[in-house]
Amino acid sequence: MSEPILQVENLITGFDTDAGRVVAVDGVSFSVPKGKTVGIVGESGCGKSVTAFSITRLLPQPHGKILGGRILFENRDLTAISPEEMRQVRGNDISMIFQEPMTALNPVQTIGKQLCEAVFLHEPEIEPREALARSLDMLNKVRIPAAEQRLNEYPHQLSGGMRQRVMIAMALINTPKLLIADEPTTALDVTVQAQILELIRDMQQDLGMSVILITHDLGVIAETCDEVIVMYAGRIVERGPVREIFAKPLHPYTQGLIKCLPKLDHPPKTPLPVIPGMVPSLADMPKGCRFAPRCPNAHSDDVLSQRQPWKDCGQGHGVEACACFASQLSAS
Amino acid sequence: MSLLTVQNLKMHFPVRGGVFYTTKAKCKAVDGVSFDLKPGETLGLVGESGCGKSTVAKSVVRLLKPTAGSIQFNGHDISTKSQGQLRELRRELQMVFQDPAESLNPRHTIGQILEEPFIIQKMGTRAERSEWAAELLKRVGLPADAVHKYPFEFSGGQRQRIGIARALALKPKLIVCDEPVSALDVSVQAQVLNLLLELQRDFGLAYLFIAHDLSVVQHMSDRVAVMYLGKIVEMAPAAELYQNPRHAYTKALLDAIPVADPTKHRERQLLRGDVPSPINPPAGCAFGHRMKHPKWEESTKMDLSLKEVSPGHFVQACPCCVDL
Repeated sequence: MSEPILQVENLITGFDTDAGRVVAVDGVSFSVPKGKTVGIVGESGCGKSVTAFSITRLLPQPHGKILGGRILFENRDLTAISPEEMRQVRGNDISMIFQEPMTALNPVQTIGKQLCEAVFLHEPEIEPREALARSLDMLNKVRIPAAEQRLNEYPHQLSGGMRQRVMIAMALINTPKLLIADEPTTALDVTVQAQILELIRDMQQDLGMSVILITHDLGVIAETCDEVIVMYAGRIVERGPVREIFAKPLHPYTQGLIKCLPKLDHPPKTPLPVIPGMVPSLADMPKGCRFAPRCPNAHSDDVLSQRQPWKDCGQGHGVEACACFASQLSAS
Repeated sequence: MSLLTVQNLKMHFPVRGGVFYTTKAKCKAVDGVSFDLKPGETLGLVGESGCGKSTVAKSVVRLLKPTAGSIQFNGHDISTKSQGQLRELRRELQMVFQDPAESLNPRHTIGQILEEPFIIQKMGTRAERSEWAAELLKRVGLPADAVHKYPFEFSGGQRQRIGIARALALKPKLIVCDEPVSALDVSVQAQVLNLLLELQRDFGLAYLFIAHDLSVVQHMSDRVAVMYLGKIVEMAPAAELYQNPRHAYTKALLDAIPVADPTKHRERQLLRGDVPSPINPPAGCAFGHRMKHPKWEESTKMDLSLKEVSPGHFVQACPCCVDL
């Protein structure tokens, strides 16, 4: 395995609210190898976006805080550097694309101006003509038809898929080493989604960058990622190579997630397997296994009150080995 | 005898502008859609955003008055009825909306929300109505004490259950579900889909089920219609459509679904471009136009109505998209 470009160690991120501090990400550790795509999957509120915003230090201020842990990007701890230094890292080395391109683009500036701004911020001495040429080149790379004309257009004149391409162009214009894509295709149609995912894949190969892809769609994960991290209620419950996770998911939550998707070969109009109940509230989280209240396996109360150990199962596949199924792990 | 028969439904919206705010163009959101639905059956409606599927849904419950065409529901033509006459028909014709947060009144308790249909229809006494509301909650799997709570106290999945309970209140024959699960997480989505299937079995409901997720539609539907730019391009029994799609657009849509199985990596034929605007749509086959198909010229001179290619399987027989 190639050396990691990003290492997240025991990251804890919380928010100060009127009702006290809630911890949205509770001890998350993972690493992103160079040139690979790591997927983070989980349901709303599991902390996947907060993890991404912690890495880019874009947490809503002043409520969001990194409370512990380290984020090592090329052996530099991003939690310890000044906001000014962080601004240099962001855009140059780490870029991010967001779910809703309409809210992420400035509605009163042309596409060309916004792209050039990204160039100027990181290379203030560059000739305007050179910046514009680079913007045009980037729009062509993300396969926007009639790119020259688009430079003078406003975001509202573009379709959703086109806007997302502009976002990608903006994120990649300074050839970052790491791209964080937070639900990049959730607002798009399947046909456009397929185009955008292919584009991210191609750009990754061309530029040799690493990608963190955050999504709730297991289908997207299966088609684009090398490794998967499954998050539940602020913690990683399982991680491993994508084929391993889909072939033999170990955690009951991962198993449930895979099973409850309607599949084209599932007999139609028959009940789908479900995960009963819902995610516990962040303010009222069990200390131990957070999935226990919804878990189909029989378990004791100890599981709820004590943090369950992490178990490595080889080949990079690891799982939070809750006592309710840990015995089966050692047997197999 | 079918429960719902839609014939040549057209919904054109005027596009206004200029100094005198005159009609400059027509947005042909739905342009000649026909289908029927039998009691207890589910017809799935799929297509990309902007293809007109939600406009069809709104026309069927007459939230929009169609420009042309007829909608026969239970023997009545609802496309021409007055609001008063519609009120009676809407007992048997209900709708579940996409975003349960926006379709429930935030200032009403769940009890008020569920009793409102009975009040509008002047049914029951106060005691009876609250009894019925409690029954509805039980039916959709929510605790009885929910009647005193407000919508914000519930999660997305629970709110959608409330939306479904409200649609069920008057014992309808047809429920139009417009993207009922697309705002929900996958684990909750499965719960809501199972509930809809169970209610259909118990009450013999018919569904017009609209979603952009093709695997969800396949799971829920007996028959599926694929819409493109205001027209149905293909309609067939669900299994037939997914195994043996005939129209190039259906094939492209099915091909674009990401499959949750990393061992099945396939080379897909990506669809280029976006859905064209329904304002001044191209003549002839709209999909052939998007694909710049060499036979598109030919299609502009042809009758592009649906043809039955095998029992129950209809397809828009245009030379660019279908090999006949």
